[in-house]
Amino acid sequence: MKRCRKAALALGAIALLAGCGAQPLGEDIPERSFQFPVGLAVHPQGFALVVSSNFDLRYAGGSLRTIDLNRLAARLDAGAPAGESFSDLIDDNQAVGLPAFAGEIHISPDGTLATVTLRQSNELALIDLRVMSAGGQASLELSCWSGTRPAGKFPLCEGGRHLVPLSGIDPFASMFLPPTAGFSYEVLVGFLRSGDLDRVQIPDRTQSQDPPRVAYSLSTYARGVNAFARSPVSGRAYLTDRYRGANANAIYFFDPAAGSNATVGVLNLFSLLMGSETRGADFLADGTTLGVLVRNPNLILFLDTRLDLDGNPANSYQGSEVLGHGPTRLRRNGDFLYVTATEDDALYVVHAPSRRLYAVREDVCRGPFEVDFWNEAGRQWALISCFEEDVVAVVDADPASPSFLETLARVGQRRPEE
Amino acid sequence: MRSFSWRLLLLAAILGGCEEPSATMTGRLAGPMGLGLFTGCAQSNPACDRISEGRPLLLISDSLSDELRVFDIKARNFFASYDPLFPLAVPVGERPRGMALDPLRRYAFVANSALANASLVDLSPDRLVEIDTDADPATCAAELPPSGDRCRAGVSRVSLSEDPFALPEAVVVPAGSGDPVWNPSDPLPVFVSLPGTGELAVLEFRYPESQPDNRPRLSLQRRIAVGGVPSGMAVTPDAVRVYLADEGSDSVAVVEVATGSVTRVPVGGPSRRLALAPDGSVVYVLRLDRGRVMLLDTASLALRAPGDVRPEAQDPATGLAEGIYLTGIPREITFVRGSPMRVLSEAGQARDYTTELLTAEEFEARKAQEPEFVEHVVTTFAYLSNMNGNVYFLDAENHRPIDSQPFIGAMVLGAPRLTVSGTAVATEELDACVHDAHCPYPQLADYDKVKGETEQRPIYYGVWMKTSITPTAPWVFTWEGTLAGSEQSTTGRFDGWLLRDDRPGLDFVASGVEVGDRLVVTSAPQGSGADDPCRPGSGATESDSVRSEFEIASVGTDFLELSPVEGMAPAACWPEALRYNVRAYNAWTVYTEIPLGTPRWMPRIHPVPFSDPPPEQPVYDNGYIALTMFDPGPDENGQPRQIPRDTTWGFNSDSGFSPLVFAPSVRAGAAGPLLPVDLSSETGETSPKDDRVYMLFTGSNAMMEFFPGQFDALNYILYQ
Repeated sequence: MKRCRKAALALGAIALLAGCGAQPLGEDIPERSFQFPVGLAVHPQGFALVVSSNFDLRYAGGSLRTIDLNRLAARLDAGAPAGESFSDLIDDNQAVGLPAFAGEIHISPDGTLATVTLRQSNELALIDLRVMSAGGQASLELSCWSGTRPAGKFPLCEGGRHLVPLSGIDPFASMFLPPTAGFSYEVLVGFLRSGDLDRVQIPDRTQSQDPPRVAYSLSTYARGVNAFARSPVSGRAYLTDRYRGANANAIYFFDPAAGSNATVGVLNLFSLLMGSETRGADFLADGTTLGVLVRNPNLILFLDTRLDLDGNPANSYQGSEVLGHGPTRLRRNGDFLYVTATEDDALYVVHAPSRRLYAVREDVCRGPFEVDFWNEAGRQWALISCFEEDVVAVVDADPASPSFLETLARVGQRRPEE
Repeated sequence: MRSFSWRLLLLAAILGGCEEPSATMTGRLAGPMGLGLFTGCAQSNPACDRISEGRPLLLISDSLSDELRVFDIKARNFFASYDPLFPLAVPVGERPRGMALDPLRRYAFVANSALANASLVDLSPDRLVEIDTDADPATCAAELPPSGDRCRAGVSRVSLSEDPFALPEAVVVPAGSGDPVWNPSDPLPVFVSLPGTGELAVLEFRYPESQPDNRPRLSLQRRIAVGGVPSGMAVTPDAVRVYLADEGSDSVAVVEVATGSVTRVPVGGPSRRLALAPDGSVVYVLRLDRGRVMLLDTASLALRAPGDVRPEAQDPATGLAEGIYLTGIPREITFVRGSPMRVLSEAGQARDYTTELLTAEEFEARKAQEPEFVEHVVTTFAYLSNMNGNVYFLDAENHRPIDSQPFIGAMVLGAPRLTVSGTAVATEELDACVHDAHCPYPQLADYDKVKGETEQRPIYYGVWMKTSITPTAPWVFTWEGTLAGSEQSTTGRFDGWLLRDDRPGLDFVASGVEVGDRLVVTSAPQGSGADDPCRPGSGATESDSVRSEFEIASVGTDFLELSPVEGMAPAACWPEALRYNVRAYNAWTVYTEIPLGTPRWMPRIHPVPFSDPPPEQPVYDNGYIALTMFDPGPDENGQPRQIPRDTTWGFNSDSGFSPLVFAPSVRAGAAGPLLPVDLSSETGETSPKDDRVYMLFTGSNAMMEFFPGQFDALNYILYQ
């Protein structure tokens, strides 16, 4: 219930701020902490990038900060005391300021670029990433601004190379696409209040000085895009729809390789299973079975997206598994699918080969939203942005471990429960 | 997980249909998956005599709260805990999924998927608690807190597998027969499917009265490897044979319990649940991947066709290979006996569904020959819950689908529509053409007839429909249309006057390309200038336009040989991969949802000269529909008229079959287990409300109560 009220407040606030072009108001952002964390992505070299949305507009803006996972692992191995916040592992020296309500963050396959959707300013932030070493310590440099780092404040991304104006309102979902010739990266962006998709092209700087831009927009009949997924086999991109229409509960799909002429297909799940909206989506290890989260009924749906003779995805039903309330994000880690259930404060783990619920972690944290994984040196960690608790929960994601799904650490200053 | 919502209570009250329920409270259902019926005492009278004072109670397993719930059917209340805002919870193992009750309805067996073990629950009125399975108070289940009540009581569980991915799914026990239905002196087999390991676990339950210490016991006897991903099960009443659905293969497993032998029977695709019909002759197998119910004959262990029905009432999508067709995906099945079903007669009036389904005239004719003859009113039905929350009904005496309007049969929906150059031709113009040899449009023969000459082959609007054969499908005939499978390919390349395309799955021959058809290139040519190899006759004789359409001289699986055109060099015009499509030449292509390549696929249609009257036998008959297409008449100068490319004829065929379905107005999906309850023995009289069916919505955390005697979209009660 509380989150519903916050959502309404947020939407209203966006409208007000967008209309007035207001300067950031509010208190200085607290040190080494998170403020309503939403987006989360793990850099393969052991850094978690966390987007704070500043959802209650209390502070002067949102932020992008990193957590040093290698140092966290060392501290845990050394026997960190229970209840420690590990706040010192949140790197404020590299933090970047963001407008409020920032959304998803994704890291390019080569680990050199991060994208963040900025709901308040309707832009896509592009942050260069570089791992640096100094004094035996590695850190992840976030670069999207120039000049001297301001004292006591987080620098804001600036310039045409780092802020791309988008064509729609309220961007949230995003996904890297294979780039076409002449471009280093391409990013697909979806909006929470329309079905339009922007395709952002980021030129190869060794070949062109052109700034990144929206190459074209693709229209779909979605009312708001929740999430993207792309098949590594067929290349087809899928998107889920946030707001249901009457007797409709659809997902959409198209071939990004077809460019601006792509035909967008629609699969209406309503006649199959009713449902009020589709949420997270991800492909299983075979690259053609798509898992889609559905609400009311709360379940994960499996679809076979292999192409038929005419080159169209079959999208045939392959089964489903019941979940708890409010399934939100879906991410695959090996043979397991992890589902954050924001309303249940739970983490559900589905065994992909049998398509059955394998484990449930209740009370993983308050308001679990995004999940990503760090699998390194024998560890399997699930990192979860805990929206209502202002922490990132680090959970053991090794099914063979006796501490499977136990919380190993909560990073950040915990927000008291209201 | 335990968030309480007043809105849910209000919803339950509002959605109470024709009856006002007594005060219902939420059962706080969380992933309800198992449903069982037993006789117990009202919560207010736990020490009642079950024989004389017992009442029907439902047992519900909640997979996401690790508990069972008890629902008082007569009072329409969940049993409450000490806190009246919370229901009574019977804790069991972690993530209980399948559940079954013993034939005497004294115990429940619950498969807990998280740790692959089974719980035993005592349903005695003064107990309703999980109990020890090994009668050894010194041991308890490893996952129970040592200091907890249940561990101190020695509650242990039966381990089903050491494999953490066994993920037990369903539990079945034999129903038994006779009086009592099961002799408590005899061990009772309990079967549990293990989808993660492809096994069937066989347990043995011993009633307390068969044991010296008067304590019940449940133990694992063996596991039988069946392969695949075994899911739902059915067992014969005498426990001789177990049938297992398989989500991972195209067959079901049949296990002879005594020997452990496994037989595989193909059912055409993966299956999720199955059930043995009350007469024991057929197993209804619910497909997982599509709306199909396959019928497995228990004597021959082979698929069988649905029972015979009058042709008008036969679903053409249903047959031996296809099974029984349903809209949507079926999830669970139960059998309900006692109440008839109502269908529409030939006069559009409600009548009982019978085995014979005779019209009034047919009935009278039969009575004239057999004065004692009466139609058999069917009262045994299969109820199937569907992913979309609907309930479908099948005739479980004759093992066949039910048409709610069994006397209608196949028809064309509306008049066929002709579109020329993107504009629809008015019906009146087509009417005027029927006997006109100079009609400017192509015609469907016999267009003006609404009903054919014979009852056996009715004709609608110039298209002959085949009762019980013609499916519900759109039909579109396109003049010189694109051949399916050849359009907008991006992988074709020219090699001289050959077009080659190695796109996986492409087969020009299978697509029906013929010599004389036309290859149309839609990519822009790259040539330009006076010596343009793309322009026919370029150089010596200039041509005005670039040719992009070529005649096909021969056809291969992955190539087309084109008839050369002087002055052109296709490979030079289109040096890279190009877009193209292939069009039929001087013929109509056919689009329908009947798959290309099936034995009854209609080939391309060539028009024939106009004749009045039309030919007695239609020129084209693929077994589904039959028709004759006439050329347009000659123009004012007596010259043949050309049909503009992409002219279309379109119409929809309807099979006339509409499956009987209960579609409650509630927006809740992923319907699950169903359980019929007959309260007439309770009340001593029969009323429609005494026949009830309970159905779980596994994904929407709800339970519905509806009434076989009174189906109405608003007539149900929803509990959450």
